[in-house]
Amino acid sequence: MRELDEFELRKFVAPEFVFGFDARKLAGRYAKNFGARKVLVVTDAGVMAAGWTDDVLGHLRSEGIEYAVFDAVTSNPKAAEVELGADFYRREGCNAIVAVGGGSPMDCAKAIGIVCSNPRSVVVFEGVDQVEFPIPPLICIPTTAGSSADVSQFAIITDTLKRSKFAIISKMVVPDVALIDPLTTTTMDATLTASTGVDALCHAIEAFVSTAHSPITDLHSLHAIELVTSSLLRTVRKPDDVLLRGRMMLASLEAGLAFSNASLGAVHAMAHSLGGLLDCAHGECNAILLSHVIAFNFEFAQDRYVEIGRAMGLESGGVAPEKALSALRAELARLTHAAGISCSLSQLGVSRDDIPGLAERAMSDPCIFTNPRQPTRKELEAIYEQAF
Amino acid sequence: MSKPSDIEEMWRAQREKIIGLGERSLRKTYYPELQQKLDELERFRALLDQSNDFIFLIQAATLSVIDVNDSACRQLGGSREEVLSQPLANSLPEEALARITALVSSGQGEGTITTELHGRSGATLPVEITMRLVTFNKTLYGVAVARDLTERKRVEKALIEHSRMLHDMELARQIQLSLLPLVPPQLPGVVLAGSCIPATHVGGDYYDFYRREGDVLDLVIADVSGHNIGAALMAAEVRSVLHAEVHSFCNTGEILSALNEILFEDLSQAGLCITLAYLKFDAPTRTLTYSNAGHPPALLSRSSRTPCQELDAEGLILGVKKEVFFEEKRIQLQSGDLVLLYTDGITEAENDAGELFGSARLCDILRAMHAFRPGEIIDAVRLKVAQFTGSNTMVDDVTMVVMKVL
Repeated sequence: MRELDEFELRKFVAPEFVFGFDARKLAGRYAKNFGARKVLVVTDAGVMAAGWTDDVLGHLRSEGIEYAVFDAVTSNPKAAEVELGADFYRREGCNAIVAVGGGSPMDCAKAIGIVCSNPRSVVVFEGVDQVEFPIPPLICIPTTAGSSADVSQFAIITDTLKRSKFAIISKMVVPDVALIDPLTTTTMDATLTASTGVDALCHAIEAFVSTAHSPITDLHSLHAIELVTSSLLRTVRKPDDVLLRGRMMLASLEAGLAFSNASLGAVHAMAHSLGGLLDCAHGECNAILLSHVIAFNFEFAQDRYVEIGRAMGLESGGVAPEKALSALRAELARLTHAAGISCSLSQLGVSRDDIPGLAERAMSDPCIFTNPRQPTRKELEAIYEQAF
Repeated sequence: MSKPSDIEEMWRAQREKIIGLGERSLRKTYYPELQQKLDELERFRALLDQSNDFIFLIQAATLSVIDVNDSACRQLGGSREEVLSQPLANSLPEEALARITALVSSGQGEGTITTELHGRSGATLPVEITMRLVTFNKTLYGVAVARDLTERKRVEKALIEHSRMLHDMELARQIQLSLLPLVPPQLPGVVLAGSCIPATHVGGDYYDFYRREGDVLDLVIADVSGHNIGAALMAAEVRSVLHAEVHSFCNTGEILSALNEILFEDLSQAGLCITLAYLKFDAPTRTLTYSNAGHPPALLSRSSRTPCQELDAEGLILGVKKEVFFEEKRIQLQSGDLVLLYTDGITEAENDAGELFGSARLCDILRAMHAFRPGEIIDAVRLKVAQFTGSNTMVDDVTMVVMKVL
């Protein structure tokens, strides 16, 4: 890498965010200050059951804000759900959106916003900078520590017709405020805690090695990696420890700030492809692919992977590159295994016949463009093979 | 297959955009949209300001004016700020305010109030206010559109005046018709018929009969210029003068001289003139004497085979000169003779080609109808004239008198 690359032009976009216990209680005040008259609350059944939606509705009511609740969102939100939500928004005469939940409700809320301001089918906004008009005011209240859609310029939607996920990347979908309250993550079970936590780790690692990384995103990536490494397993074991929950939430936020600006890489490109086909947990797909992609990329960003290893507490001084690589992969395998996450694609129910299609789709995912190594389709197919 | 350099270029461009250096890599801002909406609002405002109606937006809860258009400000005489700071009570009478209050408290629908708008200068304007209730952002407002009724009131008044005038004219027509002989007099040896149809409500045509002792009958037909109230009044005056003076004279020429002298002042003042034919028939001797003041001469038809004869005599239209000599002529009538007196409404009736009906056609009718009764002859002439003009409405008054010697 040339020395002057260090100061290539970079931009850092982050929404206003309020981080800490009870941040969610500010929902009403923010809605009012944004001029909201009636908000569309986008959420899902799991979050409703955990009680967080009602909790937020109470804070809206106390500020006299009317609302309509849209909870027909499934994990890996579908284009049809977006259209449904946009219709509901218009029918109810809403003028702002509050998302309460994990990545799915938040991504769905962003896409609903896009369709409401730019009345076309959501699939036409696939790609980078395709959103023309600003979306309505959007308040995000994340209830998982992983996706960090609440601070990102990404929205991932599933096109059920094509059985694939597509990414919408636009500064227009960065929320107006994120109210990040670690308490909301205390109701996550061990599986969800683990898969979302690994998702945050993947975000941080991919952002760190991304060709769009910057000194500011690097700071957040490395700190996020440290936090996940030190807190994930303990959090899975002690789900009610609000301090640990806070650290995981901070890790997720920092990973989110990093990846939103530096973008991601082949892991996410390939995971989006998988998620579209199988409707499986995003964090799990990432976890399975991560180690294999690191092996593929390693020699193109050797120093940076070594630095990741150091952040995870691995020995780094004078270690041979091949040793460093295997140590990093072993540490990741240990972590994901201990967290109880599947480690092969066959466990997810992928068939080998799917691989060419998966690779084809991953080649056109915007996340691939910042991968440190420019792969061919054959190479991606080989990585999928290894992950079986 | 794309070349590797193309793919690299595509990757580089995509990466630039993801970093946020693309032309459209903008963070959300509502300002351009806000600016656009403000421009639209300004355009719309200009539209409302151009309206002739006065538009007020009234907050229901307080009955205070929240917004007005320019026309309203101009009418009330003040700047927007001044108008908005005034309570409604300054611009509207109490009962109008009470109706608006009632409408607002009913909470729905719309209403129309006819009232007055008071300007700051004290000027009042009749207006019709249409008020509709609307809810913006949970607040109830009344949109009041006041329309200037000045023009409508003026038209209404003109209509009432016009209809009163029509009524008066109809009354005048009834009076004028009542001044004509109800039925022609009965005289041994002759049969008479007369008819007068004014072109409008009233006209300047007139005919009459005066019975003298010894079965002598005077016949007169006159046409005052114009067919309006003035002409009708003058026709009435002719009648009064003749009624008063007829028995002072025997000579028809002298009668006309006297009539001319008496009417001269009035006619010159009014700028009117009269044509008139005067005939006197002595039934026992069947002698007809006659004079003419510029009127179409009476027609004498002696048989269906011979041409008509015009009974003209020297004279001048009445009202031109104060002292005029009128010749009196004399003719011996015989059994079967028909005498027709008429006004120029018949001979000057015009068809579409601009042709006049003329006296020749009139003579033809007289000859063809020689054996008929005077009333039937009058009906036939009217029918022929109507056929000729292709219309039942006459441009001029139409008057005829027919005398048949038995």
